[in-house]
Amino acid sequence: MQSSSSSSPLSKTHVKLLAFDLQSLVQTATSPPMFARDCVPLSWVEVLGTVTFYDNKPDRFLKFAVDDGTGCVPCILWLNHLRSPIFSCNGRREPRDVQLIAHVAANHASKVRIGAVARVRGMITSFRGAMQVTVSDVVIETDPNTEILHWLDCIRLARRVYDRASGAT
Amino acid sequence: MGNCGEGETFKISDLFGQRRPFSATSSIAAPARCPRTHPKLRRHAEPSSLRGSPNSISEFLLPLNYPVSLYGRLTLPDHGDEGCNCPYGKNSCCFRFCDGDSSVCCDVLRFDFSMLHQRVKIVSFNFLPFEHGGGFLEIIRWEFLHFDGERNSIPLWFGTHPLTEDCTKAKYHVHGMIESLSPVSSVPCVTGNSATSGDMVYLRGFLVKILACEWNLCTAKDGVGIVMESNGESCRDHAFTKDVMVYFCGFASSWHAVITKLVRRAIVISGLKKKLIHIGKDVMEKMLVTAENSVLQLLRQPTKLSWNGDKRISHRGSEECCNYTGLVRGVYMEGTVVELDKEVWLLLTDHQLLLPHGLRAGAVISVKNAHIFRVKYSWGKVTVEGLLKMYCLSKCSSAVFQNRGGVYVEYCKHASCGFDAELCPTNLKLAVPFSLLICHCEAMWADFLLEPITAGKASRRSDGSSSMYSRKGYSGQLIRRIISSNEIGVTLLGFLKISPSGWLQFVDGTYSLDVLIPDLPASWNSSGLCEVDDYNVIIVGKPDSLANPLDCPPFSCRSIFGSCPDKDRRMEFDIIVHFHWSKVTCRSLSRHLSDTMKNEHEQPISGAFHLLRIVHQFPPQQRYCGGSIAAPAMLVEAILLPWDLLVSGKDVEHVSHSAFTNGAEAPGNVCGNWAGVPSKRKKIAHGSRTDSGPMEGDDCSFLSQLNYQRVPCLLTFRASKTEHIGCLTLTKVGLSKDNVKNGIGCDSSFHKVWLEFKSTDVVKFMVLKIGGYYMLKHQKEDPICKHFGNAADRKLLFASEELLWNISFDIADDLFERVCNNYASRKNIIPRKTMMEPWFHQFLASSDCCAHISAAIGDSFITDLLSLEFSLKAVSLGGSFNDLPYPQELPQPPLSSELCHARVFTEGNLVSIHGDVVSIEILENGLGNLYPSSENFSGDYQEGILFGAKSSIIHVLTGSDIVCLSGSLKKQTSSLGLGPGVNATFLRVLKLRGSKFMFTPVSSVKINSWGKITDPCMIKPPEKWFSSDASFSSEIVSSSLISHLEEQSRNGAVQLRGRVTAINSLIMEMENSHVASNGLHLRFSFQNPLINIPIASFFVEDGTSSCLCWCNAEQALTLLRLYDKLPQPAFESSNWTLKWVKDGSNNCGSSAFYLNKVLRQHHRIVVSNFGSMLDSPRQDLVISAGRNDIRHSDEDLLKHIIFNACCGRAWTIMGTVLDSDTARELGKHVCLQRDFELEGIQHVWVTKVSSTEAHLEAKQVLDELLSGT
Repeated sequence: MQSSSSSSPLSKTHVKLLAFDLQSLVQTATSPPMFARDCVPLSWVEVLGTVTFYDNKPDRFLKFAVDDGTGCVPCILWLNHLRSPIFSCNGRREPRDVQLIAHVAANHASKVRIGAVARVRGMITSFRGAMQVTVSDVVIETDPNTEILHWLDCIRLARRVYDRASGAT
Repeated sequence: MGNCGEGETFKISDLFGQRRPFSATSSIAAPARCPRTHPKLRRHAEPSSLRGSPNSISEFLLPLNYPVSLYGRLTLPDHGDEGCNCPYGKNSCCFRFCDGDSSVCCDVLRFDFSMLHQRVKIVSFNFLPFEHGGGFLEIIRWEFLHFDGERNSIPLWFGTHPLTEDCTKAKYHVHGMIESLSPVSSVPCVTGNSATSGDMVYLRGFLVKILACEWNLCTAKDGVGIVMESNGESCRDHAFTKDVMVYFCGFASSWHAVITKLVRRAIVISGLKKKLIHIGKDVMEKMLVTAENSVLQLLRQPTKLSWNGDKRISHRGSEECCNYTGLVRGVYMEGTVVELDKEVWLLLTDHQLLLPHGLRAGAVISVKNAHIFRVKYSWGKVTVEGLLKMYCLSKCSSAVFQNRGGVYVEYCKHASCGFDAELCPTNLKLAVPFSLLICHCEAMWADFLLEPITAGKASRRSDGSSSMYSRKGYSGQLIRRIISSNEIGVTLLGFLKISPSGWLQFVDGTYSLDVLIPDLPASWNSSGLCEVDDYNVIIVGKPDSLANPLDCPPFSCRSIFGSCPDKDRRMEFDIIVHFHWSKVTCRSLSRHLSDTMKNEHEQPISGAFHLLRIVHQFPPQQRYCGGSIAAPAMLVEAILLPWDLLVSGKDVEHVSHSAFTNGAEAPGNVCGNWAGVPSKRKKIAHGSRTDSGPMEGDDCSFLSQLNYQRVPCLLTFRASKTEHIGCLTLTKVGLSKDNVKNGIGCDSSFHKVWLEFKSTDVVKFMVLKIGGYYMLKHQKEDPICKHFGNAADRKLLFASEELLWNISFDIADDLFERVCNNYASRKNIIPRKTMMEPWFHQFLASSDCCAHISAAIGDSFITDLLSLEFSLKAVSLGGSFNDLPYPQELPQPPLSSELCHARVFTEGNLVSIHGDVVSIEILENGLGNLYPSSENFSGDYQEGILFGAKSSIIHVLTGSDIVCLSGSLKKQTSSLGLGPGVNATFLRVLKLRGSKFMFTPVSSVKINSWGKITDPCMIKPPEKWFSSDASFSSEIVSSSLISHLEEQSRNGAVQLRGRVTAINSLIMEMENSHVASNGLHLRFSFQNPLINIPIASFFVEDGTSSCLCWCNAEQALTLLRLYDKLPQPAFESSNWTLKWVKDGSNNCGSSAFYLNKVLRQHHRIVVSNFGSMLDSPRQDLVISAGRNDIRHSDEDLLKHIIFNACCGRAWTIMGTVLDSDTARELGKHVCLQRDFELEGIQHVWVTKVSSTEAHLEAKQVLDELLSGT
């Protein structure tokens, strides 16, 4: 999977998946785990749905869940940029830039509210074996049609691209 | 095996049988290992080249793995011994080791006074065979066979038979410390028997300087103090302060090796004679001289030493005299240069000094009494040591180099001619072979290319150069770097010569450097050695042009003094050395320079001169004559001014100065002061310039008729530094027609001539400058006089004996206003400010001759000059080519008209482009070159990267426009150093459509200034991608997925729906139109943010893949979400104040509003992403501002704007898919940072961007799903 992961174009894009599809991804027992959909490795995902769960730990993380009608996707937005060496790339990134990213993350966190329709992009990860999304950015959608468009997009892309990609592998 | 550890005895003859250096040190090293390896076994395996190479010894010193011993005696050299087979022969000063049968030169570690002439056992040693037999023994460890007790004193004479010498006078002694000793030298002398026969004999000897103790007991004749000292009764500490010279002569000269070992040791020499020694002709010095009964006594080292030697340190901090012990890393230049510990260079250039045989790589040596210079170069620190009057290539004036005296004279007068002399240089400079300079520049170039570049933190150099160009992936385009001599840190030493190709080159036997000397005098000849300290090295090359590095630093001792790199190796870039003639110091060339000046001085310029203005210098054209290649033709196009310059042979001191200073008289009138010069009035007939004119003896009578046709001037000649009276007079041509009425020459009187130079006059051709004014002396046979009256439009052969003198015109300040008013009122075209512009002052630069003209009486000439310059301005000056009042077209050469009829080649006019070179790109395939020359196709790399290329594309910023010139350029002296950042004039380029131009075989380049390197990203992409009026509409474009773009036809229209994930590169600048026509600055408005984005690239994804979307202008503004409100955290993070924010205002709060604020300060901002193209927070954004460093708050705000753009809604994007070649072409114009990552990614040129209408898109997708497509 590792070799195909590096070469698959789908592992380098935010695939649009419905919650049930995301939950059904196969994850490897490696550390960190890798995820695949019908043997097609995936890394990044975009989900859209209504925020149904919200747990904010200031300066640590924001946990929330989006429900797109097919399932619930747990999301985690890290807010501990100024504490964790991960975000500073072990000191290689300038503190000013780390602070800037922290502000951007805080801005994303401030937009998340229960009931809001959020488009979430991030990396596919798992916590205690359960699938989750480590959030890169959050966009609050105000047009209800976007939710419908997202469903249709997920179906269309699954049919035209993702399924065919699995067939190709 | 059984012999391991027992040892084996060698005879010296056994050593001589070895042809390879070996080390018998197993007794002091690790336990011996078996089996034994005898050096004899390898005798035939050794390469002969190893022998005699002092640097290879350490690497090939073969160790014997079993103990070996030698038995014999250590003796002093016998100078009568003809059997000594060391390289120095009977002059050798080495110890000798004898085993009864034979002897060998040797040296001893831990020398003991007592071992002399005693039988010893050598248990550990190295042996170094000489190339021509014999060898050198390095005794490391030894032991007495029979120890007779420690000896403290030893007689100097070891002979068994007493010498027939009167020893009654040998009653003196000296007690002191040996400070230094001279080399052994032979001097002629007359002694007993020889005096009667009249024959001279040569007496060997050396001088020893001893710092003697002035304590009364020590100086007492009975030597009480010495006796007490030898008995261990040191009653007090000694004071070694008095200089005493002892002459070891005759038999005692063999003690040189011993005395060398005793430097800084306390000794007593008794039984000395006192004599007055003549040193040289005038110097006499009282010395102590050794005698037969002289005895050397070694004393214990005093506990408290009052030593005056260490205090003899020069008052100059950079140099001192001291001792140094270090490991020899290399010996070079036949032993004249020794590298110690990689940071100390020992210079042993004095041939009178016999170097010890043991001076080899790997040896630890101690250097005593050396002059030490601590030199700090830009490339490192070096300590330079010189042994007693050592000289090196330095900045010494000729006065430093004194005539060499004998050894004794120099030794005794060391203080006056050595390091204490004020003449000694305070700053040593290093002159390296040019091939090493090239290697050093290559290394600097490689560092420059490989250094981690962050655009925002690009190092701005004092010369304006920048490392902005070294971004990865920016291949194909040339980049330029200027390295100053301060950065390089070495002096150039070589000869200037003209290469067979006709270029001026600086050569030193290892390399030939192209050189650019703007002020090279026309009278220059190629003799003499030149030294240049102040220079610049200009490197122009491709970013990927990394040469193979040397295996050691170019300026290491090994590189400099070892073998030079291959001089024929090909460089991957062009190197030009630029300096001024005024900065050149001619070593041994003072004669040459003075001769030049002398000739000029002896032949003061006088007579009548034509005045020419060089318009164009044609690149040398290859000619064919009778089927063979003839010398290239050198042709210059010039304008013949309707004015002649008459120069009086009289020095200005003979003429009243008041004529020049009194400008009250109006032109056109006879100047009273001039008329007042006592003279016989002599009218000069118009057109009689071919006669001798106003020569000496005319008493300046030609100045008597001053009116509008004659303008007096004062001439200053640079070389002779003399001033002469001159007069500018209208020629017959100038006086023709109705010019007489106005008193000025009009445009019609400017005639064009072509001067052809012979191949032998390449220097005269080379030093000509386009745009310069030159004076050509009237001769009966000079080409212009010969065809006087009809010289116009003729090609005239320039005679070798003629000389073109560069002349400049210095006009009084009041000239401008006066001439401006007069001229403007008549022709109404010269604005005052233009006369102040630099181009007008170009010809006022330094020249061979300067004509000072008073504005008050030089009106007519100056007006002509201005008229000429303005007639040429349109084709030679900068500014937008579109703004030219009329497309200045030069007369079409006949060839062009023929081509036009043929309708095969591109049509157009020849124009000149002036501006800043933004980028240069080399095209390997020769595209864009309609006028290829055979030379270009030959690929001759001597032409260089640029000029040897088949074709190149040069973008030039002219005013606010960028024009593109393509084709192949000929190498010319005036075009050397052409690269991004220079301000240049491209002459006679063919104007094509739009902003495209093409080089022709007659095109040439004139570099006006080296300028500053501007941002490469200011290149606009080709026009075809700018057009927003795409030939398609959304109705006929079907929606596509990015992963399916590959299937789309190239350059076909597509529509995408996706989100921006990251930016790739972004250029933002202030809208040019922010200054309204009335000069007022326009205010920011939502409709017109006054922001221009010439080019931007965004990563866009749609869930299937990513593509790179290129766009500009409005599309880029939209994708950047500049019209959206910036989130509040952006201000908190970037510490931006909100003073401009007004609640409820549409104008404020948007990203565009804040970007406008930032751009007002910086005018131009370039952003590049070196980080993730997928995860927006992981973008590594590097921001550079155009003019100055960008503030942190501004930088943070810009990053917030970009992050905001990457976290937005989905866009519906229409555009065209770019094929890979086009995308690569586009990528070269901007900073495409990661071509390796972008392999396989699709590129789209965006023509329209709009917000996605979700319900329409949803309907379309639903239809698609329902239809099953």
